[in-house]
Amino acid sequence: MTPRSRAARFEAEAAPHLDALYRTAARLARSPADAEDLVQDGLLKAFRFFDSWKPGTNFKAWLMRVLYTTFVSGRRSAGPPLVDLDAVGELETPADALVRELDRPDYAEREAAVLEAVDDRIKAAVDSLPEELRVVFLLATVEDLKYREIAEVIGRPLGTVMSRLFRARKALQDRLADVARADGRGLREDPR
Amino acid sequence: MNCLDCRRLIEPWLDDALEVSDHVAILEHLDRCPPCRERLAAEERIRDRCRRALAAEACPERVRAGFGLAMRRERRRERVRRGAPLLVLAASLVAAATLRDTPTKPGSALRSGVAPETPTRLRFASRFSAPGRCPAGAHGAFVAWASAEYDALVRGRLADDEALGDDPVSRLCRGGARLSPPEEALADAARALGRPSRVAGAALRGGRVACGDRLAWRDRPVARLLIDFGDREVALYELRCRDVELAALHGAPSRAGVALVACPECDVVAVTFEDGVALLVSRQCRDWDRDWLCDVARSF
Repeated sequence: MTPRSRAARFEAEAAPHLDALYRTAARLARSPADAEDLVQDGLLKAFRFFDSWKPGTNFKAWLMRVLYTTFVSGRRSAGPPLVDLDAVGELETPADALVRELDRPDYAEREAAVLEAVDDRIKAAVDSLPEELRVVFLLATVEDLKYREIAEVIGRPLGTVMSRLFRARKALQDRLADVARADGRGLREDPR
Repeated sequence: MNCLDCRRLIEPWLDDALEVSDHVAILEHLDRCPPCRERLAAEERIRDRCRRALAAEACPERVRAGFGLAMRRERRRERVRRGAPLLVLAASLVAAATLRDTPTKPGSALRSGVAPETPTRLRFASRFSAPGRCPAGAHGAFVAWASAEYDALVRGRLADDEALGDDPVSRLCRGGARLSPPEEALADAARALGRPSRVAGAALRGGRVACGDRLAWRDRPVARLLIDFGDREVALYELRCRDVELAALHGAPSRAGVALVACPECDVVAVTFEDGVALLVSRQCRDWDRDWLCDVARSF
């Protein structure tokens, strides 16, 4: 087999993931123009550091890591830092939250709210999640990355990934249910 | 496993993140618990709905096209770094040599190959082909080969150093002089030339030597000059270089041009600059005359 140039190899690896990069960037950057810039900057950086990717490992996960790093470093230089949810101890452990979650009577209502929501409403609900939850949710639910890979993307332990993912999913359902409730649709019965 | 355990593990189970033992335990529980099965199905429906809503977004065509363009540019840059300019140069020299033989024939292969018949090139060609220096067949054979190789490079067929097989100078030295009689070799060169002859010469003016260093390429010493043009960098490689003063060239302007001269024993790269003449000469060459070479270089 004829060995290919570095650029040709990078292009062959990256091209299948452009859609994934863009849709993740679109949810992170929140404006189409910023998303395009983010994808281009991320690809540029990934090409520069292409040699640090280990063949045989998940290239998509590696690309996402570069994209997220690019996003975070761009955000740091552009605006005030976000609050670290884990550091301030704002959140409960997954097990505690789960006990309460399992006690809640509105599961069917929340499911209906998600299933009946149009695409734009779901996107808006995802956009309204805190960034730390949003990125984990997107990488797990849409991009099918494994917990371990997501942990590498965000630079956090596995337990943090699981905890954030759990919170993200429940928060998303709650928000969609809230919107449906406000619309007077999607309700079978007021749980109170 | 009870229902609480099962529901706690449903999410990581769907994410394919559970140990085998938990995986089996969940399957056993689901098998006998309809409410948990329904909860699992609901969770899957919710995920599927979210995935469909979010995955529908495609990368805009202009981003995709911009990426393709950037990568093509990088590939071109890589080819240049691997020494395509040397081959371009070699091609131009045979263009000049061929012009010497057929300078006034309208419609010749070279003329249609857009090689401009400038007085400079003709003068250079006549010096280059000075009788007794190198057999004309060697020049012709070498450049015919180099042109074909360059053509392959510009068409992207040779995308990596490995694909070059053997280094060009060794091939030349092994068999170039015996490859074809002079007339045939020159005719081959004329046929092979085209775009390469058009871009040589001037392409190497206006830069500055950014770096001269030595590399090992397949255990062979290689001298490399990087000439910086501001918006691009051109690398010149001298594959059989043994002992040249590269450091003396740092920062020198590359306004005059570069010449590659081939002979059956070795190759010589002469780099000429506005403020003087600097030469990179292979020590193995037994058939070069410094004054003659300086004269050649000045004639650019």
